[in-house]
Amino acid sequence: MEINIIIAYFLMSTGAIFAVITVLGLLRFPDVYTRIHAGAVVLTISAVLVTLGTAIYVWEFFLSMKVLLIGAFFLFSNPMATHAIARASYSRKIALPKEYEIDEYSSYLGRDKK
Amino acid sequence: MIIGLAIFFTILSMIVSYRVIKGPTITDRLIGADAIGIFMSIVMLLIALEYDLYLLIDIVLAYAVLLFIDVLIYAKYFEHGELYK
Repeated sequence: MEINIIIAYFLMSTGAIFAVITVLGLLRFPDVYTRIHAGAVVLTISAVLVTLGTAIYVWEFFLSMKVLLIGAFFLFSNPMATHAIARASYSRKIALPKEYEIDEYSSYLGRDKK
Repeated sequence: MIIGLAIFFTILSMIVSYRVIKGPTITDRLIGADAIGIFMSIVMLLIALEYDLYLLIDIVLAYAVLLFIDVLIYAKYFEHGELYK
C-alpha cells in the first residue's frame, strides 16, 4: 500500500469522526442556536477533511485540483449559509428568550435598517 | 473501506433526518437539510472514487453550488417574508 493511500484513509476517517460529532450535536443540543453552531463549525471541518483525503487519494493533478476546489467551496459556503440562517432566525425571533441580560445584535440590526 | 465510509455517511444522514422531520422550529429543519445535503455530496464523492466515475466530481461541484444558493434563498425568504424587497 502506498503512502498517499494511508494518508487519505487517515484524513477520511478523521472526517467521519467529526461527522459523528456533528450528528450528536444536531440531535442532542438543547437550543436552536447551539444546534446552528454544531452544524456550522464541525460539519465544515468534516467536509473539508473528507475532500482533502479524496484529493490525496486520486493523486492526479487536474482531478485533485477539482476536488480541492470543492473543498475550498465548502470551506467558505457552509459558514455563510449557516450565518444567513441564524440571522434570519434571530430577526424573526424564533426561540428567543423573553428578556435578556445583554443583547448587542438587535442594536446592530437596527443600525442596519436606518 | 471507501464504500464502507459511503454507507456510514448515508446512515448518518438518515439519523439527521430525524431532526428534519421532528424539529421544533423551522431553523432546525433548515440546518438538518443543509447537513443532509453536505453528507450526500460527500457520499457522491466517495462513490466517484470507488467506481472510477470521475464525471461525478463535476456533478458534486454543481450540487454544492446549488445547495449553497438554495439555503441562502430559504434564509432570505424566512427573514423578510418575501424574496424581492
